[in-house]
Amino acid sequence: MAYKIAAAIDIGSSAVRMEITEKNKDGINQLEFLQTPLYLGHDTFTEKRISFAKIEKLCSVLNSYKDIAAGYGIDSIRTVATTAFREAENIEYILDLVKLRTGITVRVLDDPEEKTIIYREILRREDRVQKNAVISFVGTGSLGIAVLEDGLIKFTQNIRIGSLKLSEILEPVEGYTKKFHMIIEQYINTYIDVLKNLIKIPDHSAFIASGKEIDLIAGLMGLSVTDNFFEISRDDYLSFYDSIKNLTPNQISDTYNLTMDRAEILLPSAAVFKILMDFSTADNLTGCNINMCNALIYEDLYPNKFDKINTWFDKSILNSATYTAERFRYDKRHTDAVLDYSTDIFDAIREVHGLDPRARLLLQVACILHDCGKYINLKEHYNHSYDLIKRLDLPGLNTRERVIIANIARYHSEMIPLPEHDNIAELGPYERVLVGKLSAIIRLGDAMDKSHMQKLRKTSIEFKDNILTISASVTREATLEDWAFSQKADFFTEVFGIQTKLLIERSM
Amino acid sequence: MNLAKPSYFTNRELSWLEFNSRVLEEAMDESVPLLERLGFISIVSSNLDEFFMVRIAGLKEQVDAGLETVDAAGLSPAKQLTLASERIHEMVSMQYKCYTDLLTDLITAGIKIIDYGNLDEIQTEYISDYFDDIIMPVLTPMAIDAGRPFPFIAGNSVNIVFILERDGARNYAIVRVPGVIPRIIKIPDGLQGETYIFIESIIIQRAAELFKGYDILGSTCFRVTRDADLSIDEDDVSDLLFEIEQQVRQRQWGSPVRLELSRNCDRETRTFLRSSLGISESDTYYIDGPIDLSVMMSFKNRINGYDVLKYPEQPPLSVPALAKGSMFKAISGKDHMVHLPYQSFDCVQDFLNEAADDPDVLAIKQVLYRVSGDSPIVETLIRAARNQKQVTVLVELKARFDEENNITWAKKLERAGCHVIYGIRGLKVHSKVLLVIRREPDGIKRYVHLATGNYNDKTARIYTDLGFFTCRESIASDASSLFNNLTGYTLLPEMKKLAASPDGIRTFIYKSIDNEMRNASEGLPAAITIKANSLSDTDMIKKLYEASSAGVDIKLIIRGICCLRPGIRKVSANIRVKSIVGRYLEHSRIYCFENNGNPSFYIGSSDMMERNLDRRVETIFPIEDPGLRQRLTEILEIHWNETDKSRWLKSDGKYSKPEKSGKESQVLLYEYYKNLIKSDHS
Repeated sequence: MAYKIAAAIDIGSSAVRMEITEKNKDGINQLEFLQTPLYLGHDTFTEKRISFAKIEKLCSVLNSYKDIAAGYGIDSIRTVATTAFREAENIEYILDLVKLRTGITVRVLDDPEEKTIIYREILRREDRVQKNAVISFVGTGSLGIAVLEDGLIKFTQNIRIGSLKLSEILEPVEGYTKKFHMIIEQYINTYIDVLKNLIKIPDHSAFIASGKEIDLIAGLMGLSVTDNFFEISRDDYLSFYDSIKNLTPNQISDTYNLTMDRAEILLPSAAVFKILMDFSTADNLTGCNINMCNALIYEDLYPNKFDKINTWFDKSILNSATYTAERFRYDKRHTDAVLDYSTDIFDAIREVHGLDPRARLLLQVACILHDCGKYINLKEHYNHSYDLIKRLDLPGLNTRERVIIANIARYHSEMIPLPEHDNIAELGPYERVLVGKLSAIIRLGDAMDKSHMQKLRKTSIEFKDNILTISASVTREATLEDWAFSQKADFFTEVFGIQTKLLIERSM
Repeated sequence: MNLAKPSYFTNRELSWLEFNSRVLEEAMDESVPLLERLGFISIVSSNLDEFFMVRIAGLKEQVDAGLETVDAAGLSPAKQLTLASERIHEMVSMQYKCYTDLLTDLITAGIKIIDYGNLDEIQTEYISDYFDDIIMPVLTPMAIDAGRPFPFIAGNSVNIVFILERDGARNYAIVRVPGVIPRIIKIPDGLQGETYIFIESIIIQRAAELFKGYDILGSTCFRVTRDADLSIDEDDVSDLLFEIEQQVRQRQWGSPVRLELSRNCDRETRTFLRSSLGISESDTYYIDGPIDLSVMMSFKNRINGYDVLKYPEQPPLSVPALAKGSMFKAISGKDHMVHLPYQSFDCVQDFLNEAADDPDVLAIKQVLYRVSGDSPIVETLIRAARNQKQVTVLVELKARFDEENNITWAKKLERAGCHVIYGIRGLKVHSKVLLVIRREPDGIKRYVHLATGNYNDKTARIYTDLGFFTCRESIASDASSLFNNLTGYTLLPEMKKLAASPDGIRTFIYKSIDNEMRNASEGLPAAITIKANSLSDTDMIKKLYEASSAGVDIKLIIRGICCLRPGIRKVSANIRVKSIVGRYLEHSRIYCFENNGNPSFYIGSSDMMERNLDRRVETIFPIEDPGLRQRLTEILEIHWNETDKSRWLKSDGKYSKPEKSGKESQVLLYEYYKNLIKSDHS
């Protein structure tokens, strides 16, 4: 068949959406874009649970979407959910109910995954994106900021406030003040101000804004949002903002002919974008008209393009991991050495460990970040590394992967992963083994630079007859490394069933 | 300028009565074939029935509730009732006079409806047996006395009240004319010709057997019309036709709104009936003939032969481009328009058939509004579902009526695997849309059929309607969004081409009118031509007045209700209105806006009544194909220039009489389409 068709459903905080798009010889053709308002976010953000009445309604909507998709011959639809589901305490029951009533398995994206998909989609349309940029995505439940330098993501931060959430949180305050917009701005700034200390915005950064609300704002300003990108000058944006900042939701609803729900979200969203634009120091706002459904569908329709993007994304992951490590004043040269040794070992015993390239990436990130805990305290720094990594925003890695890396960092030193450790117990069996394997490798790598002086040079690795032989030449005595290596070898052998040998040759 | 003065508007009910009066005019028109005139007589009656059950009933309810709000024409409900009553009395009187004349003419032509007294010996024997065998067993006389109160009289049933006497005491008894037996019975006639008799004539004659031991002092036929307590779609006249044909149970329990009584009724009986039923003198109608002439339609349809008394056959013509080969191929090539009943409805049926059997068709979605139970469309959809197509049907029911009658066909659709959605609460779906999704080598293609009339093979021969086939992506996308909105829970996105109500159509029409006004103010050509069935929305009328005042030339072809008054200086001087009532029921809706020399054409499901614009789901869609736009120009011209069936609305709200000059649009259009076949245009 000369064409391909795909569908995706996004269960958001304020609406459920489905897109059906085909790719034919003329390019992309969007056949359907449906949206049904459903304020799941309202339940989650105020009650922390989604009511069953709403779930019933959701199931009806999903079933009718399924029927519509079936009309195009589509019988399986990628369905994801974001903040409203993610933060609901009764999530497991909800997922089960939805599966029973509709047959759909909903994949709940965690925050980083959600942002990753969006950023990736923005960058896929890369012809307009400059080398330096601040990319933002404002959703109803959360917002994400990514800083791009020289074409690679350097830093990301997810913040658990979104346009709907903001309006829900600040609603009680609204009645008390005439300058509600200032309250909103101050609230948002409490988050953004800290960022200003954490990262320096690269020169001439563009500001890219995405999310439903920017489409709405652009529409209200009279711009067409059907192209990939649209431009709003800073001045135009600020004058729009000025025109709405003193209006109540009722007034906004009347002036712009919006329903009350949208009117309530307009000011908070506009404020968020204003502050982010200030943060980026850009002169323009480049709006990017994308949504989750788009992003998922393009992945299905253009799998090859996505391989390229994924490769680039991996580079970004490492780039931002490095930047993070820099924040924690890491020892760059030691880390680089550990990284080299560990990845060489990983590659050498590939046929034994059977791990995929993603695991290799996780190993790399672990290598880069393993010592960041030293920033907190040298004592038990590995525990601090674990705590820090678990709580970092690492773009492109989902929560589960972050936890794995945190665990690898924890066990890179002396401790052996044991079932009674809570952090191990909460991992699944596959993850436990993965943590074991990768920490075993990183230990050896770390041992090889025990002195942090990068003594071992020109290393070569051979794996034959079940023995891993690492040869290195040194110009000074490397007793420390030798001893450390032998200490860590036992664990390695236990994990992989491979003997190890370190042959150090001192050159004169 | 105050455009809301009451003298600028005609009351809606009175306007409708003028429409019914035009139908009566057709019955009185000697150039119309005799049996068809009888058909029009029937329609006048069934129209009035519905009018009483719904509109008059509604006004009475308002009066009872003490509501005195005046309408745009400045009339309170009570005043409207008074005026309507006057007009109806007049109309009924004229109707029966016409009927009597028709009877005479029919006798000359060989069709006789006679009384019992005129039967000859053989006929009497036949009828006598008929009474004994068939009628008598199902009669249930209901006596009225101290122990037996006045019985409940079902709405719209014909009844006979007998005045009985025994031992000096007078009593009444009522016999309902049975609905299961034909009202007009055919009598064998040895001679040439056809002879018929009304059943009540027989019953009255033989009543003595029902009331043994009593003397029958007299008898009177009567009929009660009750408040139907629901709003029936007025412009779908065929509904009542169907109901009468199929003898569907009518709403029986509302309060009485009209009493029809034979003229021969004595005063005492009259008073007795009126007080028992609670009906006033002004709501009592004295009938000089058989009560309830709506039966005439089925009567005239029963008569075989006598072609000279009927309209010449105009078999629906095939649509040249769609008649052969695959319809998908034909529609892929270009857009097509079908004009019923001049052209055949078959193409829609063919389209569905092809879709049902085509392995590449993925889905079929259709709005089914008042489809007949044995409709071939239903069978085709069932077959499609069995062929693994995703079939979605939006079924529009006429409220409680149809639900009570167990729409078995809708259940059949469900059992076959179709996804059936029963309308939307509070929102009547009036759009006529059919969507087919097909998988083709180059991608998905969506084929759409949009129409001004329902997918009803029966009305397809009586109503004029326009249908449109296209596979333009923009229209298909809108149609799909409309379905998603109607059958699912999704919001309606912004339409690319369609205008959809609620919300959309009024806005769209106002915008188009504004555009014309702007052009007029700049001295550019500005004109509006609209063909529709009703114009009663006050705001829309004011808007048209505004446009007229701004210099826009407005031509309106409004078949039924028109509350606008044309030709009023400074208000509607630039508006001309005509109504065409003829053999076919004009039903198509066409909107044409001059647009400074580049006219835009729209057709759709919506009239200009408040309910269309605000309370129903309607669609209007543009015709963009240049050939079809030319055709619409020609169609409108034929309508505008026709005289034989046209009545011009005057500024006092009355209509002129038609002028016979050999230009009858419904004949000319048939010729037009015949010529199309000859020249094999598509």
